[in-house]
Amino acid sequence: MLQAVNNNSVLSDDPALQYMELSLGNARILVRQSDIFSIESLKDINSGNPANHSAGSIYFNEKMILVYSLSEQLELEHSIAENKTVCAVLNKGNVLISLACMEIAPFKHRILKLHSLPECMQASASPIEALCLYKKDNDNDIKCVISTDSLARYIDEHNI
Amino acid sequence: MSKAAAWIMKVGESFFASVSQMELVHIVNNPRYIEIPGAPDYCCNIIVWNDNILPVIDFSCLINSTTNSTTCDVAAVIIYRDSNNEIQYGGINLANSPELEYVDNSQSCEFPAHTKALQTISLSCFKSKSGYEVPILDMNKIFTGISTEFFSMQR
Repeated sequence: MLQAVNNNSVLSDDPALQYMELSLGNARILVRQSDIFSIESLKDINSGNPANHSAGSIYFNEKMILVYSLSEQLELEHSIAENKTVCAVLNKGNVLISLACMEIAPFKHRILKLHSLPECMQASASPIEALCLYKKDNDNDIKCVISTDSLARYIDEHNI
Repeated sequence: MSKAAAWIMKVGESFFASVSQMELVHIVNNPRYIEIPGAPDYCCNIIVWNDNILPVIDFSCLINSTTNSTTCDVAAVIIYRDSNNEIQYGGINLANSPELEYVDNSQSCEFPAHTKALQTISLSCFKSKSGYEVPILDMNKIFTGISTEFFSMQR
């Protein structure tokens, strides 16, 4: 039987990388802390534009930035549920993308491994960049990881 | 005539498929499926095996466009090479435990008429001792992303 001697799909198993857990309802996703530029309130959100698949917009650092909302199935929503009251402003270079959610908190479980999304699961457009295997009580569980890049690509695919 | 060992897997109601003996590395009984949102219907679940995350292919869903089943009691752990030629693991839903059979070229046959699209993701087809037409699956192609040719032939 062949033994896997390497695992090219492991992005990083460095426990020092911190993740934040975003609640989208029953679904919870992870985002690298370094991707999150700021956490803002959605109290003064403006309505969205279905043309660009945004669910709203807010003023941030004297600029209007778009707010996106994902359903529990990680589909782009054109409106934001009332229980999503905060947003994570994700930043990569000059790109600012805001993602609405119910709650944002540090992810405190021990991460065992990160895997890039398997190729056979990439057939349909997805904002998921990786799958995180983590220790939960006496068992293991999985969380989806989203990054600024993967979310930006996902939005772009919808805007084509 | 030399024979090769092949696992014959029941992957649907009346559908069988095969992989070489070396490609099937483990059988997981009563696997715990975790759904990944946004993934294709035929591959929307993963299982965890030896701290590896395995995407699971449901052939019933792939071939018959039925709903992906998460009630399969058995999953086969398959070893394959990804697009970077690195060794990876994947899973296949099974209706029951696979059977090992020794096959040779004399058993070669045409693909079943209603599953011509399978040719795009198979290496060849043989007739099993039980009389079933069994495609030998190309695991590398299946787990690295099934081509649009398969889906266009399905229609």
